[in-house]
Amino acid sequence: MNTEVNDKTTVTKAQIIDVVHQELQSTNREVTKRESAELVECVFRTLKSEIRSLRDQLDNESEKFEADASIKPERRLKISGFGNFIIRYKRSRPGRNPQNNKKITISSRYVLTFKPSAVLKKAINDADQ
Amino acid sequence: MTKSQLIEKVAEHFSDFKKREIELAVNTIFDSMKDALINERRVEIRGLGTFRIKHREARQGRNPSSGADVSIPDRKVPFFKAGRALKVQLNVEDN
Repeated sequence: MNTEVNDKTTVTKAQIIDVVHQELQSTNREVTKRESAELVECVFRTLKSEIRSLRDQLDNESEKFEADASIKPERRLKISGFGNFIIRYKRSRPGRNPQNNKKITISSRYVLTFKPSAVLKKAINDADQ
Repeated sequence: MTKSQLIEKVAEHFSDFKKREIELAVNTIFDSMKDALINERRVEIRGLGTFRIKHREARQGRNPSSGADVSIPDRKVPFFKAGRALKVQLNVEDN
C-alpha cells in the first residue's frame, strides 16, 4: 500500500486548478494561473448547465412518461474514461412515513446519479496491486 | 452530451486558446479527479457534488445463468452525491 492512501484530505477545485495550470505549461504559450482557473470554472459551469438542459428535455416529455410506464426516462452526459452522469425522471409513487405509518404520495422528481466507467473502476481497484 | 461536445462548448468561451489546449485542460480535470479517487481522497466540487470511495466487502455470489458459486473479492467503488443546490435546481419549475 502506498503512503498516499493515508492522505484522506479532500480535493477541491483549487487543487484541480493547480494541476491544470501545471499541465498547460507544456503548451508553447504562457498560460496564467488566472486563465487556468477560468478554464476549470467554465468546464464545471458548462457541465452543470448541460445537466439542467437535459432535465429540461426530460421535462418536455414528462406527460409521455406518465402515460407510458414502460419508458425509462433518463438522459446521459458521457465523459469517456471517467463515467456517465445520469439525469433521471422519477414518477410520483405511493410511500409511507416510517415514523407514523401514514400513507403519503412521493411527488415526481428529477435525480442526478453517476455511473463510473469500467476504466475508472479498474484504475481504482488496480491501484493496490 | 459527450466529453468532446463539452470541449467544444468550453472552447467557445476561450477564443485565444487552441482546441487541443482546451482538450488538455478538460482531460486533466477528469484525470486529476480520477487520481484523487485512486488515492481514496474525496473530491468536492462546490455547486456540483462530491465523489468518494465506498468499500465493498468480499462476498459469495452466484452466477445467475449457470448457478455456479463465485467468490467476489472486496473492492472499492467510486460514489457520487449531487450537491444540495444542484438537487434543488433540478426540481424547480423554471430553471
